[in-house]
Amino acid sequence: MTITYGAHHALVLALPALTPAVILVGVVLFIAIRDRRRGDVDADPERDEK
Amino acid sequence: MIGERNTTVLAATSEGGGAALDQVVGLSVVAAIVTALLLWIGYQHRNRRITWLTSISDRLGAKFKRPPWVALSIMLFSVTLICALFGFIWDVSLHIGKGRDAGPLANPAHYFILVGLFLLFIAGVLAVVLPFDKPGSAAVRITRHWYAPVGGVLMAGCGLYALIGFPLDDVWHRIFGQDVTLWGPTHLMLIGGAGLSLIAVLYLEYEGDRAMGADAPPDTRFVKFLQYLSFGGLVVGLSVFQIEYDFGVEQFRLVLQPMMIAAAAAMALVAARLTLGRGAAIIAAILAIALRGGVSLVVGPILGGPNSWFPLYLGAALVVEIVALTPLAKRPIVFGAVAGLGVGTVGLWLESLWIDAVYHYPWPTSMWPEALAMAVPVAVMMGLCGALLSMILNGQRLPRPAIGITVVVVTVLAIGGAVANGLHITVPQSDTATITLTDLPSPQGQRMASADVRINPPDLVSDNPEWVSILSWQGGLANDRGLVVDRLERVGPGHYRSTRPIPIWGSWKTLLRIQDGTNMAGVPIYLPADPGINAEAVPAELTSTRPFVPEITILQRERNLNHPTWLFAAAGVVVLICTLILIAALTWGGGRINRTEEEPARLDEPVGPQV
Repeated sequence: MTITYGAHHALVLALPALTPAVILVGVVLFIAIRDRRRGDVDADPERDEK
Repeated sequence: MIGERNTTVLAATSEGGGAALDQVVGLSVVAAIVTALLLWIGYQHRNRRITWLTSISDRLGAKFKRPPWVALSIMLFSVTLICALFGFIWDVSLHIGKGRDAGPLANPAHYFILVGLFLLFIAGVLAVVLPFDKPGSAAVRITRHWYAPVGGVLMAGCGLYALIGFPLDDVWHRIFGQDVTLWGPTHLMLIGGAGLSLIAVLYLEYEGDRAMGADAPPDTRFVKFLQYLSFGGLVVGLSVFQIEYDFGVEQFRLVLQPMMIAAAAAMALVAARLTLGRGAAIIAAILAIALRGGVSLVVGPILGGPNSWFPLYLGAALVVEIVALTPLAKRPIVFGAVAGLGVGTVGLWLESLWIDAVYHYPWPTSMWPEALAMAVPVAVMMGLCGALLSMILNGQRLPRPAIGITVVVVTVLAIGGAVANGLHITVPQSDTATITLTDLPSPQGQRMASADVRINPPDLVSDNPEWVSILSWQGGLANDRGLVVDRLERVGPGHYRSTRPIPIWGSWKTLLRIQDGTNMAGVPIYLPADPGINAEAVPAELTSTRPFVPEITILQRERNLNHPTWLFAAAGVVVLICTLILIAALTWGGGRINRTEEEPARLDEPVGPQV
């Protein structure tokens, strides 16, 4: 019988913090890329930057 | 969707980890709620559907006479970083006093670190999300209507870098076993991200100051205090790599310590003095003592963990202040180099008086040539970096980008070279130590002994070694707080004896340690059986002759050394790349802020209470 020791369990502990952080960064990057793809149209009355 | 994905990941990893399924599910739910809440607040704020975030930040901004996106962010940052620092030192003390964690979520200090680092990230995000108008000329474009301050982006980046350290740490430990040292690469990410975030907060503060314009009201005393505190924080932030040394359980050569002290002092104190003027280096050092000392006091005497000391940096601060009395102060770059040189020599000598007085391991004379060879180049380069940082924070025009980048690259190389040299150790082959234990009167259930040590051959250790000592640790906080470090008394050539009772019972791990030049090794005296890692006991025998072995096999019994070398190297490279990206980003941010100076008039005259 082997007893396995589970290190720090840092993954379990980190997910509630890291997941939101990564998703947040992802969303901001998505918004930034989408805006750049639209090109530099100056007359853009829409303010849907979220 | 998010929750489901987490569940799968966690369930897969829990096989070896033993995390209960309800914990996994619970934490996934927490993750989903936190994510949804943050996105909702961000979305509502950007679309002006909620006003409370604006009104809170406006009120703080008015109080501190800074733009709202600076005030709220920096307030959160200051609180959260102190929380993380406390958690970090407490965590280290618990591992020293008690050993590795018993199970998932069992270590209370981890929560302070995790929440501290998460809110560090959030503090950066706040500065990014809050402003509706372009926050200063250096701001980074997100969309055509949304710009983020450089300091905020970098602060969030530092937080993210540190947070990524957590899961990488887990993966690392699963592959390589638990390395019970602070200097595991992923540990360095956790603490390095927090330490370097002090540079980001200085950028953000400066961007806010600049955005207020020339006719801004003068700073209140409290704001001035916070500015000094930021530099005190920078001193502490750059000192986080020394913590094993502060507890007296360093697993690496002593010669690295002066280099690390000189590096932190040179950059932080040069920047403080050049940015905030006369006396700022000394005030920053005093505030660093208050911060770091306060945490040591809470963790040691109050919470009952092992005691830790900390460098005072007052000698280095004095050197910086004295050099600043010369006309060199008007030429930041030359000043940075000269003050760095002073810090790496005279400053270190002054610091050594304190180290010799309170630390377990004073710096022996024999160590100084190598210590200076490592510390001086690093201190000069870090002094230069400090000078460049002060030029950014003073709105003085930086030299050409090529020069600034070269300075940063050479600094990284100088530190890398010094660290590589410091990590080089040799383990004596076929040499042994004969240890005779004499039982001492001990409380019920305990066993204490005195030790007589003879090293064979007697000339293995020179007359002036870094240490010949017996370390006992992980004995439980209730027993002398779980840490005993005894520098042995030299009786004759190769013959030493203990100066205080040595614990050889229970969960204590006791070993003889020598470090002399590059020679570094240990001999186990007493190690308990550890079925969790399939380690057998080393009983304390009244007389034993055992060979010297690499300390890692005793101090890091949890380490799994049966893995291919390339895997360790590859994992190290991943962490190294993350770190270099962060340093590059901080360098880029400084350059961007400086490039976008709008008022050339202020370039020649440093702002702030400059002399």
